[in-house]
Amino acid sequence: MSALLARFHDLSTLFISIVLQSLPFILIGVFAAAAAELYLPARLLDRWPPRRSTLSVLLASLAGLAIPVCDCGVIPFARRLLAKGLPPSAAITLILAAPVVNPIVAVSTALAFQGNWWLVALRLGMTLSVAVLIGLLASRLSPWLEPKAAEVLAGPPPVTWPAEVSPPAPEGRSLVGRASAEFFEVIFFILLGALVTAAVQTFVPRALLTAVGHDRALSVAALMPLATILSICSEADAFIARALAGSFSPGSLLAFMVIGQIIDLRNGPLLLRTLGRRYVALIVAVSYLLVFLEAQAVNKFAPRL
Amino acid sequence: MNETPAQAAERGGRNIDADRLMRALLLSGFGALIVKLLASGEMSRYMNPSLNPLTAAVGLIMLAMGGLELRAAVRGEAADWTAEAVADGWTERGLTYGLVAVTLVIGLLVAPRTLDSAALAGEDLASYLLTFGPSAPVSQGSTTVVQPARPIDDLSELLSYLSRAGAGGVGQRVRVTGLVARSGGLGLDEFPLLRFMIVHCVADARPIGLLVTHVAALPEVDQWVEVEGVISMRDRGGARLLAIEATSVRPIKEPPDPYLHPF
Repeated sequence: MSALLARFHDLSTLFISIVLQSLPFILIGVFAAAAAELYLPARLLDRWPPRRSTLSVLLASLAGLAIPVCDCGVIPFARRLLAKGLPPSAAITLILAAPVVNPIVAVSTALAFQGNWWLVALRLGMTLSVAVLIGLLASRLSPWLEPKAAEVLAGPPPVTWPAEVSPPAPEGRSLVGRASAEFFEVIFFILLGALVTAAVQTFVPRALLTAVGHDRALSVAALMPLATILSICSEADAFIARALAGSFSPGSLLAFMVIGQIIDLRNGPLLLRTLGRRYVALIVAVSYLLVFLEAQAVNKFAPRL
Repeated sequence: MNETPAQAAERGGRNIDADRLMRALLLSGFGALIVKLLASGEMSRYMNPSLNPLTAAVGLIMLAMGGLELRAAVRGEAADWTAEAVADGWTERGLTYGLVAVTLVIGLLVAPRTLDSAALAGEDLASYLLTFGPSAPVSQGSTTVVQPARPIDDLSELLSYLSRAGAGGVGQRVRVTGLVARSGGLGLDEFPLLRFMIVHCVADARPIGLLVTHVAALPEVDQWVEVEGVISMRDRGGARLLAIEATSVRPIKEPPDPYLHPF
């Protein structure tokens, strides 16, 4: 088998493995979204959480502690909560914080780093700071963001059923039927993200990025895009970070574990679809800058973490 | 224009909803893919086997979803839609069904390929060679961990043993399997033994190298081999490399689970 064919074979293996790994979390997300759609009264969240954006953003940032959904499942779930009246800034905060600020990720990170709870606390704290800041910025800047995002974030418009689509009878709507609809709404973007991630992992040498591991500033700058490219699940990325610990600074490892759950190739297409280009640009710019600065601060003040 | 279920009911017929039928097939396809991979043992080339119960549950749920969607389709019940999907139109929905179908065809028809040295993408395995930690005792016998009489069998057990014994494990007999790789700066009778460790799936694989020395004849790259020998230590560039002084190196078939797992 030629080397190129072998690489494409690796690509298909990686692609299927990412899809298989994501499926449980996608199912959790689409069933949660379906339950929210069918069982939560319309505009329920108009009354709760509180209208004050700061308080609703803070509450949303901690929602993962009660509803531990990973990055694959949180976006469809957040979309349905938007439709029920959750403020957009709170929904964005939920999308960014919940995949990391939850008990499962805290325990997996502690396991990977042999009970280093300082590192766990810093990971959760850095994620919270990014999610809350972006949520607050989104609440202030939303009127100036693109119309598509404004529409999406205002919740789905009233549905006008085209002629070729038969609307379901209200009494005939089932949890499984709705979950199926949600599944086929998000799966295209998940598959697209998985394909791009697998292609990059197959054809871009990691050595290009990891070669600068010993320079503190450069190592942070190197591991952040690596995390975005690898798109590793939040329950698994700490084990990869641990493997890099011999060559990289604590700040760069934290940056790897924080930014990888906020900006990743696998969920990129779905995030774009959900929020639109300008919201995503805001998230990318603010999160990359803030995580980079926080990682440098960790390297300066806690170099032996 | 398609007939609605209500119109079909009025004329006494049933109109099978094409979308619901397609969803039923594709959801069942995911379930069938998982069942096939678990039954054939190929799942271990994609995922950590400790996740098999979770993956099996997902397969069953997707088969059940497919079955319920099929039953609803046959009854003429219209599919549910998200508002976004309705706005998308047939082109986008067709693309979704097409991409899902292609994914299933790849999963069902293309056998997974175990990662080998090509997955290093040009990276030198030297930076992944296992070393003794700086805090490990430096002389043999300076640890309280008793060396087992039988050879340590395979890399997982070796790593677990050395995490307790440190350099006190030097001299212990071992039998490890892995892929033959190449690395710069090694002697003519040395090669790095390559294994990949995965936490969840192949996408998070990371390489692990183990230096093998005293090899009579270097095997072909990417050949699976079983190495028997004793643990030793090699100082290279300031690092104390973990090495196996080989007494035998023999080619073997790829093992059923080719990857290492941290849990």
